[in-house]
Amino acid sequence: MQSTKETSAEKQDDGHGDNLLNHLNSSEEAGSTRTHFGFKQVDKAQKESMVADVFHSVAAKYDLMNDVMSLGIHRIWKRYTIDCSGIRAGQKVLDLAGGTGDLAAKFSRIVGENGQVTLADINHSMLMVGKEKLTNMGIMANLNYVQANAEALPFPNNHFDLVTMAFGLRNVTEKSNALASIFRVLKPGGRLLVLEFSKPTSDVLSKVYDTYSFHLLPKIGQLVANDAESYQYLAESIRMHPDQATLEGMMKDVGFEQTSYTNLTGGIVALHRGFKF
Amino acid sequence: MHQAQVITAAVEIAINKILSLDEESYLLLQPLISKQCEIKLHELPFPLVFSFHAKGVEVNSVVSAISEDITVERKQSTSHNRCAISLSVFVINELKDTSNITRLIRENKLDFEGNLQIAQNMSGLFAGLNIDIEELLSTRIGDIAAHNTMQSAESFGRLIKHNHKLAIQALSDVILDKKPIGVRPIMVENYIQKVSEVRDTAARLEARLTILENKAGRKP
Repeated sequence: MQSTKETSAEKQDDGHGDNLLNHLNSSEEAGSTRTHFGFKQVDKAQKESMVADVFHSVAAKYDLMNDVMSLGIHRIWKRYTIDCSGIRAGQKVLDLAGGTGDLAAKFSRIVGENGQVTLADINHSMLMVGKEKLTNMGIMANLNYVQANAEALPFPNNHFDLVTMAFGLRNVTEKSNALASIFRVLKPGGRLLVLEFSKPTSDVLSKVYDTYSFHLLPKIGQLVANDAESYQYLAESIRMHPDQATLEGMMKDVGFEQTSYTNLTGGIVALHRGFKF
Repeated sequence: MHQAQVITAAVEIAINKILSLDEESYLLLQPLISKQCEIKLHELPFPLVFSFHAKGVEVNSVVSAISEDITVERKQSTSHNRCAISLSVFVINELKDTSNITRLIRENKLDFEGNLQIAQNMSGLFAGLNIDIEELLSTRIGDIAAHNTMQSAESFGRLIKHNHKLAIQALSDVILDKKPIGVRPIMVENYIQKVSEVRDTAARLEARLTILENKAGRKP
C-alpha cells in the first residue's frame, strides 16, 4: 500500500491549513532566520532550546504517554520499521533521536555482540531515561549513548549500515541539514528509515484525527503527564511537518536514492525509506 | 496490513514467556546467542526471523524495501551466523526423524540454507526445555490445587484424545458404510483385480478374433 503522492497543503486545510501553508512557504526558506515551533514563528536559534524544554518536561512519562496516546499502536509502527531495516548480525546502527530506546533495544539484540548500536538524542533527559531503561533490561554490551544534534552528527563518514529516526525529524530546525548529515554518516548501500507523523490520506480520518489531536490529546497530556502544553506542541508540530511527498523530495535532494514511503494507519504515520549508493 | 507485526509480536512474547519458565533455558540459549534463523512457512505470507540473545529471542519479519509486499529476503548461505529454512507446518513433525530430511528436500517440501548447527541448536532449545507446570502452579494456587488441576488437565487431555479417536472412527464408518461416499482400500484392490481380469479377457477375445479373421481370410 504505497501512499498516494498527491497530498498537498491545500488538501489538508482544516482550520490549521493556514499555518501549514505558512510553514511550507516561509519557514524552510533558505536564509530565513525564522522557523516554526508548533504554530508559532520563532527565531531559529530559539527553537532548539524550546524543543529541548518540551522533552525535558515529558521525558519521565514519555513511554507511558506513547502507549496511552497511540493505544499501543506505536509498538506496531516500530516493529514495521525494524522489519523494513534488513539489519543483520554484526552491522552498525544509529538510532537517531532515539529517545527512550525502543528501537535501539531491538536493534541491539538483532545485531548481536559483533554489531554496534548507537543511541543518539539531542536531549540529555531523554537520553538518560533511555539509558536507565536499557541498562535495566540488561542491554549494555553493544550499545553506546551519544548526545548529538542531528544536523551535525559527530560520526565519521560512511560509518553506519542503517540510520533510523523515529518521531524525531519534525523537531529538527533544519531538516535538510539533518538529512544531509545522515547521508554523510551512512555507508554506501546503507539505508535511512524515517518514521514520523504525517498526513492522513482520508478526509474523514483527518477530521477525526484533528479532533483527537487538538481537543483530546492535550487533556490526556494534562491528566497523565501533568503537561498539556507539551502535547499541544506535539499536535501542532505534527501539522507543521512536511507531508509524505515533500519529505521524500527532501530526501532525494540530499542524495538518497530509491526513496519510497509507506503510510501506516491511514497516513497518520509514514515510514520513509532511502538508500545511499 | 500489520498482520506480520502482530503475529511476530505474539510469537516473541509467547516464546520468551516459555523460556522464562525454565531457569536453565539460558544454557540452551548460549550456543544461539547472536545467531539468526529465518523460517519461511509455506502457510504464512511472511517469514519469521528469530534473533537469539542471552535473555531470549527477538522475532521479526522482513518487508522488502521497494514495495509493501512482504517477501523472503535473499538468503545468505555464506554467513555462519545465519540459516534460512523454508517448509510447511505439516512437515515439522516429520523432522523429528532426521532420516526424512533428504526425502523432504527431494520432494521440495523443505529448503535449507546456511549453518545447519543453528537449526539443530534451535531444535535442541525447544526440545530441551524442562518446564514443571505443576511446580509453577503450586506457587500461585497451592500444592493440592496445583496437583488437582494437573490431574484434571491430564484426564481432560486423555478424554480429548479418546473422543478424537472415536470421532475419526465414527466419521470413517459413516463415509465408508452408512453413506458410501468413500471406499475401503480392500474394495479398491478388488476393483483393480476385476478390471485386470476384464482387460485380460478382452485381450484374449481380441487375439481369438484375429486368429478367426486370419482363418476366414485364407479360405477362397
